[in-house]
Amino acid sequence: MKPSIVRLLNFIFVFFGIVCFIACRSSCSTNHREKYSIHIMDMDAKEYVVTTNNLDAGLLKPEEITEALPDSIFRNIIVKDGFYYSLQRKSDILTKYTLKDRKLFAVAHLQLQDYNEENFLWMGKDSLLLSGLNNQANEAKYYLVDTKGMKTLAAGLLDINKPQGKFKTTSIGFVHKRKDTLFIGYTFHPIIHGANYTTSDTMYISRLTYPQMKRVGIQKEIRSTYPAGINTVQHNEFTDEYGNFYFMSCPGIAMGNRADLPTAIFKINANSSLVDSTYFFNLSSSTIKNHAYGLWYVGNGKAIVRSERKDLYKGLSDHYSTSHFEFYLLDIVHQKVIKKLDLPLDKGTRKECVLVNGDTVHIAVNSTTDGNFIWQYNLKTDELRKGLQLGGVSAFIVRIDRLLN
Amino acid sequence: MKVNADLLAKYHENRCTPEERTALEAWLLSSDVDDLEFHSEKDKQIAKADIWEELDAILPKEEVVKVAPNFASFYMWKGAIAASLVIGLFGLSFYYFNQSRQTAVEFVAFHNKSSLKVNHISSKEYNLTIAPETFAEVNRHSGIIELSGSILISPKKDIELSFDGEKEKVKLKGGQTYIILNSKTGNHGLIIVNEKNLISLPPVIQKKLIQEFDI
Repeated sequence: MKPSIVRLLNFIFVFFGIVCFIACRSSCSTNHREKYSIHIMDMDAKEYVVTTNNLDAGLLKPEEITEALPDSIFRNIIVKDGFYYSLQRKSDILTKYTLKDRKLFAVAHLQLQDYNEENFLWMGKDSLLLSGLNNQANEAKYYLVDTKGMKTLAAGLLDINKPQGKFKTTSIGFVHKRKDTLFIGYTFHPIIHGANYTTSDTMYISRLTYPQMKRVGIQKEIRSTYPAGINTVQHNEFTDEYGNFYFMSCPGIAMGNRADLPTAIFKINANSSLVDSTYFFNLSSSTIKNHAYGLWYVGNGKAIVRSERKDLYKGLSDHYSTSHFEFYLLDIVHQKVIKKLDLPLDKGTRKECVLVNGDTVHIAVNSTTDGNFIWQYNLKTDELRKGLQLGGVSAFIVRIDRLLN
Repeated sequence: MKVNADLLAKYHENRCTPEERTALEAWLLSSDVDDLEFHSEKDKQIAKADIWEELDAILPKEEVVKVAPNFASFYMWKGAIAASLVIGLFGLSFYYFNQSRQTAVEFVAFHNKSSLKVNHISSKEYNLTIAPETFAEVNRHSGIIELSGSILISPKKDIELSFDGEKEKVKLKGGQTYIILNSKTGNHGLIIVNEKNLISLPPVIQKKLIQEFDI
């Protein structure tokens, strides 16, 4: 072949290559409305949000799809109906984002004041109740936000007990609404010296009328401490089909650091306003024999708990980087551990890594040896298999959310 | 002739007799020193107190920089003397020896005794924020850092640090900010997290660090 023909063929090849590349890029940049949102963190703690319609198979590399999130957005993000809501820690600005060209794009802002987020609860399709603390962490506050117009509908102090005596700060663990009553679970902490934090041996459940926010009752619970947790990062509470509310205490080192007390599930029956004194699902004394963080309801009286393995990590220093988490299927009605799911050990201290879709439970696992996969557990057939893989820079799948219903 | 306070006063007022003057001048020039005679023990105590007061006015109110024989020690006090601290700091030695790509910190020591304020240190290699009630000392020979409290460190290039009780060196990347926590009495060991991954720490510690470092 003559060199000039080779050159021409080369040119045509390169030209068509460029055309195909541009065509692909423009089609990729259209705004897909995908069903699931996956939040990923890499080894440098940079975070990425990717979306997909398929959690069952395939491979996604975040760096090939999107850019890293700006430093103002973290994984404590609220995802609903195609939008993301994130509170900027320093400025106290709540920002609403949508996806544009596969990147988060701010569409509205709402300025809050002296506010640190602890808990969120959707009161309606467009009304979001944010419950948190002032910057001193000793006064409970709330904002009821209209997320459509990004306006404050109501705001004020939550009339719950304040830390007293040696206790200086509060942790709000859960906010649950039932008809016209709000149940707020919380506990207190003494001042911290160095890294020595701990928690009161008592948890409190205050009842307020809603929407008046008037105090109507309080209950003390001493069978364990640190009720639930910050649910923008991980859920430790749920309501079953019958309106019974369950929450898990988290006294392990990653939360309350009262390891002498058990990780246990508590229940407020649908027909009662008090924590059931006859119900106490002690996970630490069960076959799990450990503390746990992360509890998700999967339906029909069953839940999945994510428990640590204290024999596999050294301390708080390697708690998030070591693969040591196991997943157990629980019978929450009869307070029994059904089985340990045959998954590789997971890493990452707290993650929103379980998503239920009918009979399928999607469980994101980051294994040091087996890679990062969203596993599928079939509740009917008990079958467990690997689904979507997260590759590239992915180090932790820190949350999976339903972006669209 | 015995020299006493009265005689000294007379000398200064030029009321001395020629004998007195000669004797006093001889005494002043002499290296044999007798105790100064005071009217009473009370006068002696008053004079003594005055001398100490004068000295007090000249000396700095608080000790700022102290260099121990084996360490470059840097003691930090209240925010009020922050300016002098910064000047003192630049005067202190931060020694490094270059390895192929990474830099190891040979020694530095600091102590923030304040219960409220953080201290900021800026060096050629990194920016450092020291939390209240934090102490750290780096052994000159071993290079091992003994840390009690919490620091926020932003290396300007990749560095390696060795901490007391840790077998492996800690590698910190340039351009990133890390939170390093340690407590002698705690059971958590040394905790090092990227500032961006603050959320992985227990919420109670997060709140404390956010307040302390204003991050």
